[in-house]
Amino acid sequence: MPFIDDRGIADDVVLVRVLRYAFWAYPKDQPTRPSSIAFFDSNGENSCFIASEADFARLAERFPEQRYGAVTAAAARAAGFIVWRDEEGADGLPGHVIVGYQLTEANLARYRKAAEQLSKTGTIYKPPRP
Amino acid sequence: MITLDRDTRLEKVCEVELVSKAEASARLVAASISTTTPWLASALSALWELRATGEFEPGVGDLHVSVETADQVGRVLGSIKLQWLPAPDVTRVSGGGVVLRWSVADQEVEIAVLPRERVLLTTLQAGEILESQPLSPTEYSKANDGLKTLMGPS
Repeated sequence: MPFIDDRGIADDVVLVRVLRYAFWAYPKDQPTRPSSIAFFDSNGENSCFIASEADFARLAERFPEQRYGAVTAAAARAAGFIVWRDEEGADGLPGHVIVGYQLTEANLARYRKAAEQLSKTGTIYKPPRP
Repeated sequence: MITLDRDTRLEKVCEVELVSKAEASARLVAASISTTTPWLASALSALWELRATGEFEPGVGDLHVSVETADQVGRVLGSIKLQWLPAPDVTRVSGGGVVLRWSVADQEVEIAVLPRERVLLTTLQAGEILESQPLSPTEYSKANDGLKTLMGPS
């Protein structure tokens, strides 16, 4: 993975993360935003989609009944993440990006805090109706 | 003395539920844990569930929890000496990690166990991180301090 910020993805671009489990949304019972662990991928590579490019009909087929958490590229960058395209990583689903955090031996705690900071800027995303 | 013919002997053998020594031992330990440390039984059960499910999902990430990571979680859990705790939430993060979280009111203690022996202990209050520190394998017992604070004075 490149870990190079793609500045072609503008700051105001909305990035959505499939909230695959109840704990990936906060609060769990009546979520208003993604939880911090939604952006705490073990390798620092959080799979997301550019909202304006994503095919939500296909996403809904692949992930039925799942919520989406939304953050902006600017919020991700402000928290210390970088964003790059990864079209191959979603098995044909368009608009796939990685919201990445370059992990080292020494920055795991900082990554945890960055994930928290990013999640607090987030919202629950309602995809446009087809 | 009753002598059974070969076919009858085989039939009898097939009727017996075969339990290996290791499995019987595991069952005994599980039964013991469920009465002495109910939170641990709950956590191990949830961990087992995580191990049994989860795979790479394009667009989300790798949700498979490896044997090594599950073992690591087991070692972390085994280092906790407190008998009475709430059952932790046990959930996964993408990339193969597991997060354990104990909550009492607005206080939380979270232990993230990530592949390649990375373990992070985090304390939170009202959803805000108070402290976050990585633990080496010799430091897992530090989780006891955070959990004692969570439970308050006994």
